[in-house]
Amino acid sequence: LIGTEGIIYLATLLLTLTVVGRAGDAGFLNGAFQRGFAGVSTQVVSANFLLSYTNFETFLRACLEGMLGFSGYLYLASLGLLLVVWISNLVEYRQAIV
Amino acid sequence: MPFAVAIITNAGSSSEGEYQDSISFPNPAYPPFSSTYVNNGGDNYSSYYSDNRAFVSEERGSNPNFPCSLGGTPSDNCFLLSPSSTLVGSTPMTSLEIEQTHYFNNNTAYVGSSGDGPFTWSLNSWFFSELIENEEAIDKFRFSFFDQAVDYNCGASIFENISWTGSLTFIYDNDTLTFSDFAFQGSNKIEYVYRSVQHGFVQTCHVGLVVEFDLTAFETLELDTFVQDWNWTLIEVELDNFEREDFLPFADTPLPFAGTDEFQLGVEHQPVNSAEAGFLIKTGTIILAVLTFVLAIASTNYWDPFRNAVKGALD
Repeated sequence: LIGTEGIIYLATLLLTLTVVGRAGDAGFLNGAFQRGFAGVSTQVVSANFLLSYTNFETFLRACLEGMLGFSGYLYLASLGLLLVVWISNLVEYRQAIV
Repeated sequence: MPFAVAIITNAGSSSEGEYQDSISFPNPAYPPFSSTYVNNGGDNYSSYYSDNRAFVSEERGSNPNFPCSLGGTPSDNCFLLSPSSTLVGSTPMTSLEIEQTHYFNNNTAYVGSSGDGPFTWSLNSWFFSELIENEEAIDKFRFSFFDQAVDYNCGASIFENISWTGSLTFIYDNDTLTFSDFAFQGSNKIEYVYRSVQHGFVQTCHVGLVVEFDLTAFETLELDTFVQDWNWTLIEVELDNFEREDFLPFADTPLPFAGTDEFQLGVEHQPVNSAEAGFLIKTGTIILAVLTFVLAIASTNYWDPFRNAVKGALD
């Protein structure tokens, strides 16, 4: 459960950093408070949406526990690659999605 | 991505059919296992019961030196659930009549409260026997508990809005599979119309609970893989954490299985085609994996399909 929630929090964090970064580049959210408030709000809303209103977490757990067999592990590998790429982008370009 | 997951799982869980009876006529001569009470309600005993009688508590008799009831049956028999009759027609589904949580006692020592759980029953294949085909996968189980001993006015104040939790454990070949964290809200009222020989169609309200365990598509597949033969499977049903929605103490709220008489238990299931559900979910997951992989590559600087498409169109 912690593993699947961790994946969701990480993915939403990366998306949040991208959204706030893009907004900053476009001339919005100039103040630190504004950026912080927008980032926390986006993170909380998107993570809660995924955890409470979708079955994405259940799907991830099913993949992790082997209920979906090879296809589940293949999806986890792809998702892991996506997160690695986004983290790498964040380090190199200061935004996850370039 | 979450929307794609929702589409995949809904495609694999497309059971819109009707419930089917899981109970058939029991054959007491050949039960593969015994059905037992595992827990019967928590702290709902008077001091007389604690001191002079045995009852089921956490999978064992509370006191091996005392009988279950006056007349002196061995305390181990407190565990056993022996359906006394099969009811067809007077209930909305085929049901079995089994003992409530306490044994009748002439000294009226039953404390009279329901207890807020856990209530746990281990049910053998009498309750789901050959009516579940081994090649069927189960999307939903519905357990209907009702106490037909008393007919109530459907607006009677005895009925309350309540909430509770539940879990299902399947035991097969010395291995267990548990689906937990089911949360329920409803009433302790069960209302239905039945056909009486004397009175025609009769609307009736009893103290009762309808508990529907709706398995996710993944759980359905996991259960289908786990259970190879329903005739050699035990289902352990647990209901716990009963609360009234008006937040008053639960003790005096009647439950169909709490008492010294008998109650009726109906078990139904909704099957799905496991091969079709498995194919849709696993194929959908592979497609999602490929799309996620493409998204990962497209997130690098090495390949930008959007820019390439635009550039190709302009060229």
